[in-house]
Amino acid sequence: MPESKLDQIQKLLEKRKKQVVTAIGEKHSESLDWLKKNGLDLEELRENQIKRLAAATATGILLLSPGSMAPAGENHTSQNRSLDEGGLDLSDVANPGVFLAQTLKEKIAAQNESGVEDFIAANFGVNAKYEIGGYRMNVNIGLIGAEQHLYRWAGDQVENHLENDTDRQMFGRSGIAPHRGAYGYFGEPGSKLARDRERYYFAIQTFLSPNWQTDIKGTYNFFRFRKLVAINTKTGQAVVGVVGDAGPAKFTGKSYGGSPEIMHFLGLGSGPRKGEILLLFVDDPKDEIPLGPVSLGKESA
Amino acid sequence: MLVFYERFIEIKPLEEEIHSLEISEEEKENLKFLSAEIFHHHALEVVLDSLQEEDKKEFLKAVEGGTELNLAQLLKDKVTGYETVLKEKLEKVRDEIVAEIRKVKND
Repeated sequence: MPESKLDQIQKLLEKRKKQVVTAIGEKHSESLDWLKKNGLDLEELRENQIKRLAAATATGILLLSPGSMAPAGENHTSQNRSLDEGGLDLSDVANPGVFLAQTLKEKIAAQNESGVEDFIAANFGVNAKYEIGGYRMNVNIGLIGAEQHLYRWAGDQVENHLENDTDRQMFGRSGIAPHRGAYGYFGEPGSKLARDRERYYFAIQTFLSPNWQTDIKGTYNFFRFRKLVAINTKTGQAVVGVVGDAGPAKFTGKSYGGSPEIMHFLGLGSGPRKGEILLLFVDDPKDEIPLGPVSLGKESA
Repeated sequence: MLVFYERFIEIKPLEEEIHSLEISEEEKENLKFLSAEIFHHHALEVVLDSLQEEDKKEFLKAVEGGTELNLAQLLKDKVTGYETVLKEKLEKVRDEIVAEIRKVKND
């Protein structure tokens, strides 16, 4: 029986991989020995990375229908929407989130960035921006996929991320990445700041930001724990979080990653665990907007 | 920092080639993952080839668990013209893989 085209291609790729791994081993044996002494070899180094790259595409992790559950003690962002400032009257709307999402998509399609920003400010109560201080993300609308928990400080353990039974049920199976995020630990051990940042972190492709090439340190400092708001473009569910990691890889087809909690509050915590979002900076110089889900609140005419 | 090399390569031509194959979505994903591993190893090789022994350890540490800043700064400081070198190497590898897949597909 002739070999299938898929098998032929796989063999060719495996052969290429073997060749480059062998070449590295031959040329850099001292470094690889050192790596081994530190508990890793080239394959494990690659595996750790691929695992994280793959996290955003993982579909095998099933959570227990988190859509209707809300962890106790979540710090919901509430605000008064203002009809005077362009907020839509949602009093007779059956599903306000979906209604807002549909209108938001029309604004996005019109490619009027200030119009989108004004709409979010009026309807979600968040001062969202495409650009701050000349910094931009590589893309503002795209697919987000589920990431794992990250170490918040040295010696952290995944069990400590799960603060109650609801957390354990909803987020326990997500696991924890093998090392800290690309922006380092999230804060002082045990601090609320570190806890909140990790709980609501995004991975974004900062390495593809237009600013990265011109000013490495400035760009890193700008993005590190930068506050962002994500809005599910189908359901209008929104959450504020911070940049906590770099990724996902382009080949995953996704533009962003979200912590287990971020995915839950975007309504993407079950099923394929991915979906389209709008992601913008939050202009919040006084740090007044808490991290966590954004509730639509009540209108005030 | 995990995907330091992706800034230097446009993977769309390879993705298009893989997507043109008459195989399942899962099989396409597997081929993309395998290709990503190859790019990753080649990127490591290019950088390691350019570094002194002590710097190689710093680099491997940064790749495994460092911050994006550590790694970007190290590359900038220690590998002359690293953007061009990585881009040329990875594009060459990509084009070779595309050609190989195309040949199998058309045989």
